Amino acid sequence: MPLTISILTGSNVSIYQQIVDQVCAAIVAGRIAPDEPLPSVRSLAEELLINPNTVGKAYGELVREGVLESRPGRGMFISKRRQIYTRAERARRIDQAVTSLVSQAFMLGFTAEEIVEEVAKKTTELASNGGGS
Amino acid sequence: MTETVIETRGLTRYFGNRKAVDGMTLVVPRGSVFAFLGRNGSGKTTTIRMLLGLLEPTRGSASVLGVDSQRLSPEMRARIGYMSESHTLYNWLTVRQCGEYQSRFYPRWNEKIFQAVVGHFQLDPRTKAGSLSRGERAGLSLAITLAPEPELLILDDPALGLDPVARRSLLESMIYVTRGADRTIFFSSHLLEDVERVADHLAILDRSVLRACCPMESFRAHVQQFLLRYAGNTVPPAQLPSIRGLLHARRSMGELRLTIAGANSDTHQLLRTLAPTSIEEAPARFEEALVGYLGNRGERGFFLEDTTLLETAGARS
Amino acid sequence: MLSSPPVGIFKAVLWKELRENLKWAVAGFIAMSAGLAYKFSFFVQQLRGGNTSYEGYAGAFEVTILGAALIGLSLGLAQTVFENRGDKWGFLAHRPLSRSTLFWGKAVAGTALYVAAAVIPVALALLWMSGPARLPIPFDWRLALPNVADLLCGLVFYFAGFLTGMREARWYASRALGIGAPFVCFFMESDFARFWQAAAVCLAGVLVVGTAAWSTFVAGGQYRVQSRIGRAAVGISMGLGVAAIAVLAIGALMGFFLDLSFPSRSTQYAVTTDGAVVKTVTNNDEIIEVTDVAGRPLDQYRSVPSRSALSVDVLSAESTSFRMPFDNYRSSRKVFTRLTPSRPDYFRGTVSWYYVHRLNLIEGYENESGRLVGRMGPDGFAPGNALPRAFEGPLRNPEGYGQPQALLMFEKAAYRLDLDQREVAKVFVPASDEVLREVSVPGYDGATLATYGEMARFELIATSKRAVIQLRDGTKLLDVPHPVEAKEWSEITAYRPMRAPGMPTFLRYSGYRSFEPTPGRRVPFDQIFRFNGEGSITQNLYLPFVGFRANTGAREIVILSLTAPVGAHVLVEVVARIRGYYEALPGTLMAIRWTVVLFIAFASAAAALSVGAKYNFSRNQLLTWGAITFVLGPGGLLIMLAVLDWPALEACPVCGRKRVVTAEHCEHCQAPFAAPPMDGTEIYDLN
Repeated sequence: MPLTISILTGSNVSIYQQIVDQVCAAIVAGRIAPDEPLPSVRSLAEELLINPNTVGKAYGELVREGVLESRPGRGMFISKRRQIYTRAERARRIDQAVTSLVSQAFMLGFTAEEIVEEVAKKTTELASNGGGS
Repeated sequence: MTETVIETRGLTRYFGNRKAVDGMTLVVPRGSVFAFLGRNGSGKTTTIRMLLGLLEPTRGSASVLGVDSQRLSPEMRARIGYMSESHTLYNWLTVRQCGEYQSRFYPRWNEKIFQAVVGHFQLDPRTKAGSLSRGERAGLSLAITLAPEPELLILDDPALGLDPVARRSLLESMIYVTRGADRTIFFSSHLLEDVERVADHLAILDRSVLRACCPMESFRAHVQQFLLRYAGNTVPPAQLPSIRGLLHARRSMGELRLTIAGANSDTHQLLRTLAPTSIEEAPARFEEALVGYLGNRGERGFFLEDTTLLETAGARS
Repeated sequence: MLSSPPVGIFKAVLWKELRENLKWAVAGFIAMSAGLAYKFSFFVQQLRGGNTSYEGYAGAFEVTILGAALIGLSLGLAQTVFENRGDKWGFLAHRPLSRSTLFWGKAVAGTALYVAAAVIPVALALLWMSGPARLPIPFDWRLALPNVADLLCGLVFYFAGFLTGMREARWYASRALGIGAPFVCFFMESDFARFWQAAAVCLAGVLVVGTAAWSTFVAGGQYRVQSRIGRAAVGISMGLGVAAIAVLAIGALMGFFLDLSFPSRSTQYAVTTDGAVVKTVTNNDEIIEVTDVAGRPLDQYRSVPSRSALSVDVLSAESTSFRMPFDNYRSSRKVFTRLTPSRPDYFRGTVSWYYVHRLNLIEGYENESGRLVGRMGPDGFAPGNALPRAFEGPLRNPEGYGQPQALLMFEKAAYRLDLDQREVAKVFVPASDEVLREVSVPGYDGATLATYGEMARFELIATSKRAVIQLRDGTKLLDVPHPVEAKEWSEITAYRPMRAPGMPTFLRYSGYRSFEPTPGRRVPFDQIFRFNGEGSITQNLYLPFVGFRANTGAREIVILSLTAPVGAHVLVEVVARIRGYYEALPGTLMAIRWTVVLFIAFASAAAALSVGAKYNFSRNQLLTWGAITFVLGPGGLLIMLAVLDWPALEACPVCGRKRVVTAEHCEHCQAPFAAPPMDGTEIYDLN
């Protein structure tokens, strides 16, 4: 199972946030199949050597946001219905991600055209993996 | 079952005229992994000894599992596991004999756990405890502490002096203990990485005074880092005004980095009066937050600044 | 519910203590055995040479108390100092068992180790001694009693070591005060007359110091939290330590200020060669002055040669009861009395003779081999293990150390011994209505013997009614009823100046006499009577008291008043009145004494109360310590300082006065302790 989560201590980002982010990234990259259970709270905690409460909290947040759902007796799965952000929230998030991407690319010396080209390439690639809609 | 496993009320201890612990009021919830943090000599070991009834408080009280610490009965002591900083053992006993000896005291002794921990640390049962390395001693000490399956584990700096492998084994054991939902761990440590991983509550003892007692999340959320940039001709002010909750401040070229606890809108306003070009705010890293709490408050760091450079730079640009 | 049996836990503690401290016990065993071996080799060597009477060593081996004290102390300390604080204490005390049980485990193990290390070697030594042909002395298990007392005393040292190891040290020396109590025990047990008293003192010591040790252990070293009994026991133990030091200090002080040594100059009475009674002043064994009994100087003795020839050819048979046998339980004299033959040359011989009290027979042992040679009774000597007929009743005149004993006195008979010839002869039997009180012979004088032959070998025999002087062949030189009341005299001495005309006999009586109109008050008297050949009294002189008498002068009184607390003074007064030797001091001295003593008592109590007030003592505490310091004086203050936990004092932020840090509210203004100052960074989030 290609879901590898690794956490960093000593970061500005709290551990629980890192888990949330990495689960989301894994989902987006298509590394988790819809019918695949995620690792249990305990097994993930023992693998990462962190407090199970932290994992539980991360999963809880993901459930609240509709990213994951808990099926009784079988574990945690990707939610069939993914959504729930408000329009404003979605706009804020995309704006944040794009700002970060574009400023980094400019810093690296890419031109606007090159950036747009890279983005187009990536969108195509991920969409074909089932990441879109 | 009580909600809290450890409670103190104004716990104070003097050694001669020196206050080792000053008016500590602390609550440890059941089932938590509670980190007890503070510098060396700030009173952590003294507090732990008072909690276990090994030392009498000068003033105030402490209770463990609902019972006053000075009146712990043998039955209560069977439910509390304690590992001291020095991993005390009887050096003339072998590993196996240590286990046998300890098992005679505890009605509930899980030999499998003892063997598992001993095996995990790769201890030869026939070695005398006195010949074990530091990490091995910690392992044996941990084995005899965990085997009675205590409801409350009190560990005083358990990872002191351990090599990375032993430290990892220790962490794994602690996470193993959390399998029991009502089992609590109260431990002190200087290894902030491990604390960040495994603790869900913390308390901070700053020179005998308790400055924080809260869940880990609250602590992280409470301490923010503000980066004030000064571009162009602007310079950071030479004197900082008094900022409530300021833990630490550092200047560098055109920048002022402030670690502030409990920042609110007033704080933001105050910062704007310092006229920076931009303010960035981010949660502080755990280590920075903690060191900020425990270090010398205010504007001080080790690296000496050459202020002439700053002035020249300012004048030039 | 503990399902682990308490017995199992106790056994676990016991095993750990035994195993951990075995090395100390082994070291102690070796040391004790080595000490005893050395001592015994010394005994064997001395006794074989017939050199010293075993009595000289009393019954205890001297090694015993030294070894017992050291072993006890070491064990007590070893079991405590290494795990009394810090993490080691945590590892010991944080266990599912009560502190009391833990203490008992330690104490039982410690006692067992003590027995192994200290008692067994002594027991083995005694066992060896008891075998035949070991030491040339009669063995009796009562000789073990002093050792038993010493070993019991060693147990007090054990608990003292335990207490010392556990107590929190206040000032450095106060830690060691606990050791004073066993020393006090030792002084008492070696001084008491009867064994049961010595044993009782030691057991009391074990009880007090043991309780203090137990209580201090249960409290983890602190004083405040102990029970009342525990605190009392600790207080007494520390108090005894202070007392021991005080006594030593006072003794040293007295010795420094006062000259308590016996004066080399002494005054006594003598009978002269020509039959007169005079008073002499001797300095360093030389007579420097001779006066008559009233003190008037005598012309004929102005010159030195005349003085040195003062008592030529004057034979005196002195009272043997004056040399009171020291017969407390530690003395082997309760078991046997060594008999020394009268010999001019002090040649000891190859056989040592003893009067064995239990058998009322004389036993002889060969010095070289320790073998029993044989026994002597009134019917004579019987070799080997035979038991001849015993003497009739307890020996009434056991002699002093090494003094030649020619006569054995019983209530109803007196015998003369010839140990070298192994012969016994009955020399006197009193009448049916009287008993023998004193028998004595003059010291051996070769010159007089040569001149006067058998006439110089008389025997003084005093019964309850009369005094008899007889020669060895039974010829009575004098047989008169006592000229003084029988119940008054305790000592009788006979003098026979051989050269005086008519060869008179002097009998000197001394003792105590009670006087009307103050009955019960007894004064000493000394009276000498001169008898002529027909037994009539021709002279009767009353001899005024001379010689050493403890002078309670002003200096002594002042020093004692300054150093001994009021409790001691009151005690001494009470005891003196009860015992009847109360002697009133002159008025001014009494006034000085009581003023000084009471002043010190009040001053000490005042000091204690002021310190107590400063440290917020409760009413009970003030009363207790006020009383203790009043009675015990400055020593009581020392005890208070040594024993109590003294909290820190801090200025109260509200009223500004100093307050103890142990109380929640200021004792002056009731303000609670301020919480530590906040600086705005605190997070208290107790969810």
